[in-house]
Amino acid sequence: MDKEFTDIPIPTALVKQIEEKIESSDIASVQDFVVKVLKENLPASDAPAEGLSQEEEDKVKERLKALGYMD
Amino acid sequence: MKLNDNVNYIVSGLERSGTSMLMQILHAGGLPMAFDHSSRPPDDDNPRGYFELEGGKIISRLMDQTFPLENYKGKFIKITAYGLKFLPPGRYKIIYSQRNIEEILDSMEKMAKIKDTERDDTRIVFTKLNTMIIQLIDDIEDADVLHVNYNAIVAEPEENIKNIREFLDAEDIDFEKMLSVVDKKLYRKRRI
Repeated sequence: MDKEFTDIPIPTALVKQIEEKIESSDIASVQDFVVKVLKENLPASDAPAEGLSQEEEDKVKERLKALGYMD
Repeated sequence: MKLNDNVNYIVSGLERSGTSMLMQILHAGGLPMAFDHSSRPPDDDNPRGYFELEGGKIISRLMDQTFPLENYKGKFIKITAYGLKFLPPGRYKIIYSQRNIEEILDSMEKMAKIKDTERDDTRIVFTKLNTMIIQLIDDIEDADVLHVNYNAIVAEPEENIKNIREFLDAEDIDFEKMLSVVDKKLYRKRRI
């Protein structure tokens, strides 16, 4: 329950491209850029709620199903 | 008593946080509401009814954007906390209920007929969800939010229902009938 981040290898060339792109932007890091792009491209209903990990979100859904609030 | 037809009115909070009681209070006051008792009739967990639409299962419809929120403008509906994550842009007036988390977990276990062997994790998750949703609705530009507390309403109904009346700017609301809804006998999960 306590792990809220995961490591995903990204090609070094791509990372360099991102570093160049964010240099003149207000995005602070490669990680922030990647998270931003992923959020923009995931439908809201599939994206984990802000502040909840996927595991936590699954636990919420499981409980809501048990209570009859979701199918 | 009429509400603004351009605004969606929502009662929310974690499941078992007193949202049904709030709906009962508003209904007693004469406010326009939308609910049906057919899909989830009153039972031992909510003897006066759940005051929900579609048996409370509108979260999935909000998630896939098929729930017709526009049909419910000018009326109070109940959307429990997680569903608020999927609200489309719009004008909202939200009454959000909080309750002692141990009472919520007790009540959830009773209603779901389970003994939660991971209660510590469940507490963390639902506390986080609650915080996250409060932040989310407080950040909606076109939303007015009144935060209420179930335990406080039961302890001090008059003061808390006055706050609701002021929030809705509803002087012609039936205050006495609203007060009569708060039944301390139904407050069965007290922890504090």
